[in-house]
Amino acid sequence: MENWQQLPVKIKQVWRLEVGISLVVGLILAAGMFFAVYFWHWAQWLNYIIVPLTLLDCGIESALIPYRYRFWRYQITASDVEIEAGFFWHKQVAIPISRIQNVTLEAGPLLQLFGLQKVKVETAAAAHEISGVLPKQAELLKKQIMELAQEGEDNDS
Amino acid sequence: MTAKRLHPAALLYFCYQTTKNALGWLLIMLVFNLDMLKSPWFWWIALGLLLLVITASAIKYWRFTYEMNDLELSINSGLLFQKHLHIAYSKIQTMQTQQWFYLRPFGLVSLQIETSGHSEDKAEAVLPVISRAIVEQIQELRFPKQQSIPNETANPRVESQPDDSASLSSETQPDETKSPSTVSRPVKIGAHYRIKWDDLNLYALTSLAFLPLLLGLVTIYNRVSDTVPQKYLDSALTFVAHESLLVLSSLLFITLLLSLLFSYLLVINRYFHFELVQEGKRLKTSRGLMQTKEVATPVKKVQAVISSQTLLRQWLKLATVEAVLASQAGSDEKDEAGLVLLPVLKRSQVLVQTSRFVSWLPAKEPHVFMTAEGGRWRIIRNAVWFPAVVTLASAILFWPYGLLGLLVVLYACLCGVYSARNNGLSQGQGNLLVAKTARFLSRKTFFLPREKIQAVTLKQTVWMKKAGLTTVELTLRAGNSARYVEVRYLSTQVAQAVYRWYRQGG
Repeated sequence: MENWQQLPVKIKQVWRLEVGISLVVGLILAAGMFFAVYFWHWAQWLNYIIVPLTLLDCGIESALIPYRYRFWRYQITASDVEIEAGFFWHKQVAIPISRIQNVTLEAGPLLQLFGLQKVKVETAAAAHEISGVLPKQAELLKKQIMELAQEGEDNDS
Repeated sequence: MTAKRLHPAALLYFCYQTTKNALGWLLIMLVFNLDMLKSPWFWWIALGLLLLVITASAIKYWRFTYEMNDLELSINSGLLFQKHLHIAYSKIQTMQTQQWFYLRPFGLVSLQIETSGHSEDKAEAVLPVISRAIVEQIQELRFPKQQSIPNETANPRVESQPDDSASLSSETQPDETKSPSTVSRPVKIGAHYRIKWDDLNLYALTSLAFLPLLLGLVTIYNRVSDTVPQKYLDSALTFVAHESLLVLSSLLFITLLLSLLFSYLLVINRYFHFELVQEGKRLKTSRGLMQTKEVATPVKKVQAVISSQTLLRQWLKLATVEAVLASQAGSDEKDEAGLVLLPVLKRSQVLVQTSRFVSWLPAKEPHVFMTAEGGRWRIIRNAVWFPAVVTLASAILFWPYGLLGLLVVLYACLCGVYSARNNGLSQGQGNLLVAKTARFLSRKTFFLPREKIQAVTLKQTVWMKKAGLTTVELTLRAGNSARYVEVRYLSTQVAQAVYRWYRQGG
């Protein structure tokens, strides 16, 4: 019973915006550095480092967005939640629903702007994230997990 | 039941604690103003502080009460910031008592109670100074003697909210029904182990605790060289340099010997009279010379059993058995991951001896699939590349002394070979998975019940896919956080089989 789901396409826009924000933050930092070098005579080379680094980071991040989106998927079966990510560094996690202690739905301002929600699934040991789903789906997901969790045997720590 | 106070001796304990804090303040004041010592005001200030300490402790003592009813233990404390803590007995993961030797005649202990909530790094509840009778009373409430299991499951369930604390509904687990304790006799003193002097000796001699101790000496030297004026240090060094090689080497030898002796005594002190007892459904360990430490935990809260060996112990065919718990108890030393069950025994005896205490352990170690073809050199490569690059760089920059880095490369290479040879996973039979991992020339075998593995991750790069290799990562609950057991470069078939096995079990 394969039922793999991709993240909603809108998540790409969220990620792009995130990159944009970190670009702006980086540039503000660079401006601050420029100021410091100019007025307090900090080392000159600081100027030549921060801008290229910011640009490089944002460039790589935005170039990776399609890749990240393409290879990120999840599925919820009767017994577990599975999350798969990456192609070059492929990773696949199985979290049995009976181990799930709680499910958190969150949305920061960016996700709210696009009407998305983040689902956090927590076991006794660690938390696993599904980074953005539509609210309707999130609700469904939460319901499904909670129902299964109630039926299932408690296998906690 | 009405609220109780701690034993009056707790007053002294609180005084000691507050004084410790107050001394810190006093020192800070002195650092800023050394003349203060001479001023006539100093003794008045000290006296005032002393009075403050005594009042504060008295208030602390007066406000600190605890109550035990049928369902829960509650602890009240604080005057300005009042705190009421409630712990349902069924949620208690571990109970740990500590007793300094000077409190032994009075039968007073300090009790730490831990649940599996992981909001804080310290124990959920601490009763600093209480009599042993109270501890036994609480233990009695946690593990009722007269009640059989059905009664215990019928306990009101406070745990309806989906927190991560323990629940009793897993009583029906097969391992529980198998355990002898659940039959006829309510509390049965089951298996019992007490360390023999020879074994303790062997354990201490092979502990290698002197290595971190030596490192400690080096750091102390660094500290000293920071504070002592360079002049004295130089003269001391020239003095040492002028001595003959014989004196120097004997000095080194004595240092080594002393640190060995010290670490030996440390281990003896820590594991003196080590004892492991199975009492009904719980395991109890006690140990220690200067300070006796007792830890009690329900068997079914054991997350995993680890048999570990350092290279030295491996040569002597010895192993140490630990239990991974979902609480901090027992792991007070940083080098210990969990609660030591059996400090030292023959490797071949590990399963025979430990399964007397932990019923889900198999009688025989299942077949373990080791690192797959093509995985070995990858593990070695991963271990070596970084030190190699650093050595190359330092060799170029600091010719020829940088070449000393080759020693590190050699060591890394050894570690890599060792890790590659001691890395494997069983296929998952019934309810049990066995994983072998190694780091820095010491190896561990994990025995993991399926229901305690919180998640399984498969990792694979494109290149590994071509070579048919997969890395498996198992997520466990250990202490207050996650512990990851990574078994690297297995054949993809084995990894997939384990993944399927894990998912089937739900």
